[in-house]
Amino acid sequence: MEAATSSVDVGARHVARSTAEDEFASFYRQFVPTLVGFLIWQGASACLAADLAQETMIKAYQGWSRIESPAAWARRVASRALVRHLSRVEEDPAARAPEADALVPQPDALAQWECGQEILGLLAVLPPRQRQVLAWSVDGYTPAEIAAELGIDSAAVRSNLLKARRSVAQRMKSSEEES
Amino acid sequence: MTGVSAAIPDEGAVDDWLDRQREALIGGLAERLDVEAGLRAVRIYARRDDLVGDLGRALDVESGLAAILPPPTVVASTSGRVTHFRSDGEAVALGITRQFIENLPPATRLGLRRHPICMASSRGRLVVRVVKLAYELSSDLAAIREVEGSPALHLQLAAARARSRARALARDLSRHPALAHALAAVLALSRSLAGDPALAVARDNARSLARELALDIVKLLTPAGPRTRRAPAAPGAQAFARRLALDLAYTADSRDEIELAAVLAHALDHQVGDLLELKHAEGLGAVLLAGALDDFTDADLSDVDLSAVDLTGVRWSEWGTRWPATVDIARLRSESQETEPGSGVYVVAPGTATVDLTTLV
Repeated sequence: MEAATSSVDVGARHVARSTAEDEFASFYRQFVPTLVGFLIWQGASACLAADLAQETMIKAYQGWSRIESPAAWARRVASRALVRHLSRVEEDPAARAPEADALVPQPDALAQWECGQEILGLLAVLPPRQRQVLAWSVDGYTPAEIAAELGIDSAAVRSNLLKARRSVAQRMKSSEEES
Repeated sequence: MTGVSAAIPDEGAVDDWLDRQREALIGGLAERLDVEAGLRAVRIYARRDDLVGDLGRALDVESGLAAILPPPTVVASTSGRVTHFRSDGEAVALGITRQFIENLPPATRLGLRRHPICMASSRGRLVVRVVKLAYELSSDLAAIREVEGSPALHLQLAAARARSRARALARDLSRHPALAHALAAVLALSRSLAGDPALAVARDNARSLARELALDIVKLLTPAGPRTRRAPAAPGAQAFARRLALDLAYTADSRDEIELAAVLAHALDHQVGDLLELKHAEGLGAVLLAGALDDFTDADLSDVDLSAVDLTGVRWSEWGTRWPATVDIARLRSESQETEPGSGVYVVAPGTATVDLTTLV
């Protein structure tokens, strides 16, 4: 009887593990471009964003059973990793350039494509905090939720969002006039 | 001030524009990211704890390899082909993989022998063994230094264990003429194993050898192309393995070396698995290291064009291998080394730099 129970347990564990694997794979496939885009929006180069997204996904895979809202969790972890990275780079300007990773088969082509993205030119002139709150906002988060994620008050989030939107609006207006 | 000035867009228009930009950015990324390769890399890398958490289990592949190669029961058929009998489950699984590779058409195997992924994979498995040797030497040294009184017996035991591992390594290396320098290093290491300082030197030499082999893997995984500031991009999974090899070559932490070597070997196994379209890739590097691609002792090569093929390291037999009519057998024999006197089984040697295989037994 014990052996039968044990066999059922092993089978159940196997099924649970297999389901978790499938869930993670589905999440990864669907979410990884979004996560990379989210980091680029905040100021990471495309290659760095892919690197940080991969690191985050490794952590997600390792702790999958304990993560309740994977998308929010991944955004939070990846954002913090980006802040850590940027502060390290500022201290060490000679930090090595990111290399091709499994996720980025052609880093040079990706970098070239990145240069052609109009939105990145616009975001580049925004202060880091405005870029940050805008990244969360365009991903569908409310000011209150962004405030909770970033550990700042809602008023500061709203103020930064307002300034960021004004800058974007001004840029859109200039573009229309130029064309 | 003349002309019509565009109005500042309202908040809704800005949000719509930002949404469209975001969609375009993510859509563009989705087209340019290799999501499947990324997912596989995550799974491989995340499993490193599983792989190295129980180091003994992770390295059981090596036991399986040892089980395949220096056989306790060897039967030589009249064709000169050697058959090994094993009952161990893991060795059986590896044996099936080896059999699959040995059953590939001879021309395919000749091509795969010099394929960078295959060469990197066998080196990857070798790195695991060298790193393990270095780590165990470190552990032995630490344990000996804690022994009160005379540690002579412990030193002798540690040296004997290390010598045994070094000889097993040397046996594998002797099948890979391209790794003759590594073989020389391991043989020197094996000879030097006596006494505390020598063990420490041997440990350092093993770590140097591991780094050297890791750099060799980096070279193999770097696509050929014009030398620019940045090397040409390698395919995703290959770039991932290349990065692991680079990390291994430059890490200063021996625990990291073990982790990285295990993950690297695992990643390279999967690269070979993809190349051969094999579902179960585990242990492929070990099988290649064991010379599965090199055994032509019973192969029919009579229709294979060997004009541009480097035969160095090919194992052939007087009675079983069928060569094209253009091959001068007497000359080939003179350029080969007989594995055991009178066996009729030879290995094509690299120039005159031959190794006396009998000294490794």
